[in-house]
Amino acid sequence: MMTTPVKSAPQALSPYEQGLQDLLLARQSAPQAWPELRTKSLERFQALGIPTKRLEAWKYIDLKPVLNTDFQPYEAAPQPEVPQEALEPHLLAEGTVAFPRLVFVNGALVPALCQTQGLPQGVVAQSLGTQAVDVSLDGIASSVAQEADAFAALNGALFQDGAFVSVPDGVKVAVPLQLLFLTTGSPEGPRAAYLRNVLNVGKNAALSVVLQFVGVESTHVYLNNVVNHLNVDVAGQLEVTLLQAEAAQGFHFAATHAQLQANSQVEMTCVAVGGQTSRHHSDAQLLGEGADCRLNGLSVLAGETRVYRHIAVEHQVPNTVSRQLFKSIVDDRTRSEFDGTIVVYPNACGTDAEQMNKNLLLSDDARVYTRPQLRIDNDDVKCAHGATVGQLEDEELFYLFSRGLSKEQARSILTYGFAEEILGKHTQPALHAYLDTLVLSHLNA
Amino acid sequence: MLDIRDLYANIDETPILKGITLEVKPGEIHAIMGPNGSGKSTLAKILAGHPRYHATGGKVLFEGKDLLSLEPEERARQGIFMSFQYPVEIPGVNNASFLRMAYNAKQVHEGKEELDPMDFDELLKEKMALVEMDPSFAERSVNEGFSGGEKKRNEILQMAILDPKLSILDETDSGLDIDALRTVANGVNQVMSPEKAVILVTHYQRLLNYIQPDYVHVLAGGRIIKSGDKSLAEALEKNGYDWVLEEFKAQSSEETTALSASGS
Repeated sequence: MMTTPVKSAPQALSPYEQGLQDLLLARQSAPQAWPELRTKSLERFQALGIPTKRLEAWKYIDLKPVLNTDFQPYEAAPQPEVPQEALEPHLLAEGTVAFPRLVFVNGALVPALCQTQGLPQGVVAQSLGTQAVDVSLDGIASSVAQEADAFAALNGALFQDGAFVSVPDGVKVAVPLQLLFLTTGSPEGPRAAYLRNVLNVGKNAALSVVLQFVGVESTHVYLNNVVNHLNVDVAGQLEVTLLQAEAAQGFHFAATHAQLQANSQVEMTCVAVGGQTSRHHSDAQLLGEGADCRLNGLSVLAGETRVYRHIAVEHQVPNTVSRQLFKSIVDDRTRSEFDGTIVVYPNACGTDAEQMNKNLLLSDDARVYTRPQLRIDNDDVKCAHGATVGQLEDEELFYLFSRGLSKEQARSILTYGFAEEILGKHTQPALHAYLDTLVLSHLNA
Repeated sequence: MLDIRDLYANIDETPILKGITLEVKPGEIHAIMGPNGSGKSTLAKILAGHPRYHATGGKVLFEGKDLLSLEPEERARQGIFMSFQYPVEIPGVNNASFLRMAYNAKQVHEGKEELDPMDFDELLKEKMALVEMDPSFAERSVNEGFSGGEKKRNEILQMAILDPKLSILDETDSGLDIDALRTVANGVNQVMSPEKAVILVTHYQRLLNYIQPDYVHVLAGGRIIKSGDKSLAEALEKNGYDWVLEEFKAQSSEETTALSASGS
């Protein structure tokens, strides 16, 4: 007996919910991989329901444009060919040696665009689509009950593809791995893709990953719903760059869950420059002593772009370190939200945590919402947090003018400098140059 | 080169300068001294074009042209340089790139070739050696995390690179140890030539042991109350400012008396 997947509200379902209903029913009638994860995720989604503005974490975001759109799944493969000139700028290389990469178009892996040469023996980098029946996602299934983000729960029921990367114990991957998600959308109407990425780094292993969400066609409405799992074992190191450069009509809802075991390190840099509305939830659980988590973010917003960021870092055990530095540059009629929380568990003595949100307002019509928060249940901790919202400083501008720089040069150099505090954390030259170019092109827009 | 005539100026709405007249010719070094709050820094900032400082009377000519109507960046390109008392930190902006942008802005203004990073690097190395600055400072963010002395050195480096006609040093000596002071002085002496001029704004005579001024002016209450040669600076160092102020008061009251006498 088939149940109604989307809980019926007293009023009629929105076009989005109606579309989900149809999709979920269609999926239930066919066998799927990871049935336990699917079932639990759907239950969780049903329990949470579509978020409303009454929830603090969903207070500022306007979901109406999403709910009023009937997003259909993409047509089955093959996906449209991406023009070389749209693809080329996003392919990274060190000298002439291309980084290994998995490339997805409209939510599905395109094997012809992938190359995984150069990855050390034993490292797995594959699609979670059809080729991945042997991958176990039991750990993820067992944590679904804690999922707080309804869209992430929904993702568990619906995802069709994504990347599965696993680095065995002791293996350090020298060259960054690219996971490139290109979206063209469809001329036939709004489309939605549900993607799930799982990155597992073993004991004493190291990996650097760049996840790029890039919109190729600017006129089509689409939605990317993404969930990322970052699991770093004892003394493992993971560096993640998460880029959201969706097209102007793109919606992007992402949840990233990181779990850090003892003495592991995660450094994640989240850069957002595009999309119509995007929401990025990231949480990190520091589960072993000596774990060290650094989260950096930069949003460079122009036009009507809206980016909502929610961060939670949980210090669950003694002697762990976390840093958050999130910056945004908001121009025109853009919106940027930073909602970040440091949580220190009662037993987590020796926690060393900092959180900072800095915002540069370039327009009177732009809005910034910032809520840096601490929830501390232990006295023996070092925690600091703060937020600033401001314009370019007159004194800084005058300093540059007095050296002969033009008004435009001075403004752009200061704005770039504001961004560079985040981008400069990238020591990999090709990646740094790529992000620099991308951000600069949005600053000059 | 610089001709200041009866200049009155405000910071925001507060009057600070109350009738300054000063002429600076090529080849000259002028020291402007005076007690705190006398208007020394205001004079420096109004010449550089700081947005919070406004002239309310008088005029300033630079090479015969009205200076006060020019934007600060125009003044810089025409050859005026002010070393900041508190140089601004610019996180995320590479010092070498910043210096090159400033250098090229002037090159373009003068109709000369811009330098590419490679060629500029050579010029930069040479000038950094001149001001005894560690080459690693080229790749750091502008002034970020620099000590007080390093910031001042970076100012002198900018001066050496931009090679201005008129350099105005606003209390560049404050907070410097003796080595840094010597480097700063050395930088100024290197930049100085018969076609150039320097205005040193300073509270102390110390710097003048290393840079020989042609003229020393005492600024108090927004006016130049006494001018002399470098022996004036030595007298100030020994006896403080009070005697100059007393002398000026006596002189003013004499003038007032004389005026009222002649008026009657």
